[in-house]
Amino acid sequence: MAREKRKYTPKREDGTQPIGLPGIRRLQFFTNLRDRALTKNLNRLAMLGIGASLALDVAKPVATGVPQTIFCYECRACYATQDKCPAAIAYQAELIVAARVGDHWRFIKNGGMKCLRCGGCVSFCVVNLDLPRIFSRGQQRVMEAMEQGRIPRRRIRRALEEGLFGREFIDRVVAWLDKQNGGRA
Amino acid sequence: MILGYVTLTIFLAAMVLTLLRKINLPVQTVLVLVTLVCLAIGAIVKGFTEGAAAILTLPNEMMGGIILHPVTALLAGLFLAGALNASGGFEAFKVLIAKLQKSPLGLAGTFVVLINFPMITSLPCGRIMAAALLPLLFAFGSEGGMNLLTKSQLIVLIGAFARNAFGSCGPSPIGGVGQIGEGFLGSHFPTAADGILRAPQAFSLMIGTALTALFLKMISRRLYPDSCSLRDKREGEVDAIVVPQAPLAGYASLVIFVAALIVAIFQPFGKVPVQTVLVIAAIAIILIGRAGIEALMAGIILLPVSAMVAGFMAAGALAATNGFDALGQVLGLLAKVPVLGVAGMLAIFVQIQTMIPLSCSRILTAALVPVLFLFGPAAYGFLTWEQLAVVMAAYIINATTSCGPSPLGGGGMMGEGQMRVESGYIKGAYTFTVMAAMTPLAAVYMKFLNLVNFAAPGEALTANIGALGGFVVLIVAINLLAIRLMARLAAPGDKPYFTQVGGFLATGMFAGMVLALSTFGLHVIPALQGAFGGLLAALWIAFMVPKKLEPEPAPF
Amino acid sequence: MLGMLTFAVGGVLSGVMIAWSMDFKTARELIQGGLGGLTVGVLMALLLPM
Ligand code: SF4
Ligand code: SF4
Repeated sequence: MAREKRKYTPKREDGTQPIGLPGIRRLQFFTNLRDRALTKNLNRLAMLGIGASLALDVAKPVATGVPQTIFCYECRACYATQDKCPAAIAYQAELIVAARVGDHWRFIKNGGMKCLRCGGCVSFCVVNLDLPRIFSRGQQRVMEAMEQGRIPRRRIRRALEEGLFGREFIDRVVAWLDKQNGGRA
Repeated sequence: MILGYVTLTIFLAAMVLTLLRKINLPVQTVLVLVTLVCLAIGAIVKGFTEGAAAILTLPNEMMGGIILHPVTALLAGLFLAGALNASGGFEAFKVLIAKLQKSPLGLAGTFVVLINFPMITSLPCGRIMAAALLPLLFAFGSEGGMNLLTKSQLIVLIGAFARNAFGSCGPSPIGGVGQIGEGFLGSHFPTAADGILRAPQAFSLMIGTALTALFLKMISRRLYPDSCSLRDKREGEVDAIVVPQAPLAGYASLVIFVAALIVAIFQPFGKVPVQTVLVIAAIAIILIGRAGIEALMAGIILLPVSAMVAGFMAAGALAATNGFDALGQVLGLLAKVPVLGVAGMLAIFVQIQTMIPLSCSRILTAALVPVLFLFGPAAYGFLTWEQLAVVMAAYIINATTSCGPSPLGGGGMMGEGQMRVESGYIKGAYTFTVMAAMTPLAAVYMKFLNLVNFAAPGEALTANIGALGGFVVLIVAINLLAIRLMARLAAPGDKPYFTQVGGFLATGMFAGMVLALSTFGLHVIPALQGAFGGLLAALWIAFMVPKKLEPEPAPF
Repeated sequence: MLGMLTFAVGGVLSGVMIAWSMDFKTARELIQGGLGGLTVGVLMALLLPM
């Protein structure tokens, strides 16, 4: 109980060192390691990471052609579509998020590749997003990513077996898998 | 799957240790570190099992955890606060309050309405109202200049207001958290999407806000007497503003504010995101008040934003490494423990978000409501549709209120900032009332009133209303009793703290029992199982309330 | 209708509790708090699907 805690007293900033990143002097990591790297700089780096992730999360959908996804509340009111979705997709909002960040497996897993882009879910969205358009772009990007080998092949095969690809994509997927296997079916 | 359990454990451990100040770093840093650790572990495991492509997908999966809506909502709210402040809107508000003071509502009634204002407006994120109006509430105190309220009153006012705000995103019809549950229930109740969960949430929020106020007054103030740096009115200090004055632009900005709220809520011009409407309003206010853009920027505080985003990142890393799947599995397995059974498991399930409070309830809700749905007739058949609706109501209110007590960048931290208290001050009050009062209240309201309205209109309502009244009175009475008993023993130190734990346990057990009774009817075994589940949940919740408060280290 | 009634009663209850915890403890102030709660309850009930 009575064990005294060693007081941590940070040293003042060494102004002679050049600045590397905002708020961080370059040599601090190597010099006064105990005093700075473990606390202040760690916090600053964390802040930078947070800021960068946030910026990326906004910039990415704009760059990849689905800027509307930024407006999604993730309220999941669109789940009320239920049997009005002809493709029996249960989790529309998951597709929106997946399209926003480019999480292709999440898109496939939730049935995004089966979407017929009929627009049956649009009226359920509280901010009236153009869902079919977002889903269509998401589908395109999944196909591109698949062909560039950015989705693990095992997952693609599994999705194919589970019937997660709509009819319009099956041929292309099968052809690609064949090519990967060197012609073997 | 093992991966999920590992990352979930890391996350929970980090959260508890930060809460108890065993890790002495700002929460943002802790969360970013957790994110990195989880991603690193995920990369190693997935790299071995699925190859390099799986590693590359991890960052994207993590980013999926960032929910932009609360971030933009908070910014819009802060924007609005800046605009109102600069154009004299707050002054006009004060004049209004001074006028209302003389009306039949009086000061007390006015504050009651003000505290419940977020619930009435029901915006899809509580941060909007909290950010916009908390500075106004602060002004009623001594430091704020109006000198209308004492320190104790101000703490209760801000705490209760924040409680109300950070539950108001649940019953919102324009993108509220409750809508996910309504979407699922829609597959059985034809009109569920109209808002089957709204009334139970609103009702229990209304009562829960009052109980929170009571808890703050009677217990938190005594448990942490020295951790608030607000001050009371000084001796001989005259009331700074007797009849406040406000510029014309102030009134105009107030009108714009209210008009914007009405447009945002009722959407007469078609569906628009709330943020858009509010930012337009803020700009209009700025133009009318001829305030500079600096005034607008001055209102924006970035720290809550960064904490929230860090929370999302950690949650995203958890989702990317199947941590939430693991959580769902654990909950499902609990039903197989004989002493718990389905009733006991559900008693824990509905409290899970209070047990693991994240910076926005949407994260866990999105992961767990589908699991809850599977317990219903759609898959496992543990519950009928009606029972599912009751459990859903209890779960959703517990979920939407969970950003209040979250130490990971939750909304309650904004309230704590305005109260000038250390982080963790409101934790006891918020978690207690949610666990002991709001969750069972939502369940009984759903069971006895709303279900009849939505499932079989015109059934014998009068018998039900008696049962509802009885339950409500019982729940409130038990809570009052518990708060009273805890307050009697509450003083800083160890022993009263354990009395408080005892109070949590007793009411938690009671809450679990009420939930089981309203779900499964009058049967002894489920009631006992529910009580046991409630006890376990309460045990965890009680020990997360900090014994004493220590200042969080400054980030820079 | 019954929903409205429930909300009104609940509102009064919560209003009185809030007023009391804010140190408004005279009978007059408690009634005012109750009145405020009543306003809140009725207003809320009007906005909800019942
Ligand atoms: S657009 Fe796609 S998700 Fe929406 S209802 Fe049609 S098929 Fe279903
Ligand atoms: S209803 Fe619209 S805003 Fe809400 S989650 Fe679905 S797509 Fe997003």
